[in-house]
Formats: sequence, structure tokens, C-alpha cells
Amino acid sequence: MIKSHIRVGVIIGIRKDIKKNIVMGVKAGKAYESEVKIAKNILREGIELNGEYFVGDKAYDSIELIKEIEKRGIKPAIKVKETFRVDVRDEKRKRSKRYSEDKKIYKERNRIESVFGNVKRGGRDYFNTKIENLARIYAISLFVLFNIRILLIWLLKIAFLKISSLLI
Amino acid sequence: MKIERIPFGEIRKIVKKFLKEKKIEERKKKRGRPKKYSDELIFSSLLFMISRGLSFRDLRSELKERIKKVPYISNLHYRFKKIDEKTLEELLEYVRREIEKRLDITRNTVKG
Repeated sequence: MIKSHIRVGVIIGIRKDIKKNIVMGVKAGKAYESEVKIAKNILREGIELNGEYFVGDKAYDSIELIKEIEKRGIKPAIKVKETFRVDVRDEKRKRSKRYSEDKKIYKERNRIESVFGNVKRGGRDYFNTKIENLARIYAISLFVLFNIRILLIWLLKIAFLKISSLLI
Repeated sequence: MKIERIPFGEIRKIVKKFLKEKKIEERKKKRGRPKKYSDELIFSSLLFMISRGLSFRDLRSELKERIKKVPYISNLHYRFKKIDEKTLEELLEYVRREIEKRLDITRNTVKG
């Protein structure tokens, strides 16, 4: 049996006012491709990002990525790898470290993990295909389905609101 | 609502609107054999297959209950291969924009 892998990078928007997560952008790459590169590609394609903080784990502590985020007026709250660094010297990294140490901000990362949980549980974790390109298409369409699911939930809510307003 | 329970009709409606907006359907080539099945059907059947976790054979039998003319397995596989990743990414963005529109409506109605 041959197994091959693909890597999928996702940017997820967390809406605090309604407590819902929306997938903002997806990009599928090759196996073991750098996550930072994928994230940069998503950002460069020009998705609309207008949030307060960009929360990410230690894999995303590259300076170039932090630059791209700060260009859009978003504060980076990315933890910094300190095991192989003597000291954090760069000011951008220092700033992102400061934001990430705020527990109220970094706590929101659990919502990102919950999206992956939903996608893997509700959809699939693996695909039986020989062709790598098809696997990428399948992976992207899983996230499309996640967004469609949220859209349908909101359509139901709107219909319910309309009916309730008529009854009143 | 789980991902598994998204109905085929709803998926088809969203894909139809998206393709209409993007005008992807209108592109007609002068050369070669014309396509037998529309892009809309192929896109929606791909999404349906993944939402239910079906194989190609199962997908065909499921589609037979919903549509009259169902493409054969080889045709489905060939057309899935030809789908561009960018169009799928655009579809994702389209759905995202639709959600944000709806959110604004609900906010106004709640306030009112």
C-alpha cells in the first residue's frame, strides 16, 4: 500500500459577536511543505482580513509573516520558539510574544482546533486516491462544505426569525 | 446540522448561483467534443460525494435517485480531475461573503 500526504493551510475567522467560526482562505500544498509559505500565499492572494488579532502557534513565528500581518493593521499574537534561541532579539517577534502571553487573546486558539475537529469528524481524514491533485481538490472541498453548513444554519435562523416576527 | 446531512439540492443551488455570478458556464470552446454534463452538476456531485463519504459507485447510485441523467464513473473521475483548485477557492470565498451578508441581516432584525 502506498501512502502519500498533502498539507492544507487554513485561515479561520472567529466572530466573537455571534460565536461562529468561518473559513476565510484555504490553500493545499505538497507533503511536508512549510506552513508559513502556505499562509503567506493565502495572504498574498488578497483575502479580506479585518480582525483585531492574528492567533497562531509556534510554527508561524517567521518575521516575514508577521510583517505581512502588520501591514493589514492586525496585531500578531503568535508564540515564539525559545528552545533553540538564546534570546528573542527582533522587535516584531517581541511584540507578537507580548500579545500571545495575554491569556484572554491566546485562549481563542481552541476555536481553531475545534474547526479542524469538526472537519475531520464530519468529513474525512484521508482519501483513497492515487492522484495527488485529486486529493488536494477533495481537501479544499471539505472546507467549502464547512462554510456551506454555516450558511445553511444562518438561513434557517433567518427563516425562524421571520416566522416569529409574523406571529408577534 | 452536520456536514454529512447537507442536502444535495441546497449544494446545487449554491453552486448554481456561484457559477452564474462568475460566468464560468458561458465559456464555450470552438474546438473539441462538447461537454455532456454541466459544470454545476459536476461541482455539486463532488461536494455531495465528500460530504457523505461515498465511493464513485455509491455516488452514482445516490445520484440516480435525484437526477435523470447520471454521468458514468469514468466520466465523473475525469471531470473531477479537471476541476481547477482556484475555482474551488473562489467558491469558498463566495460562500463566506454570503454568510457575512446574512449575518448583517440577522443583526438588523434582532435590533429592530
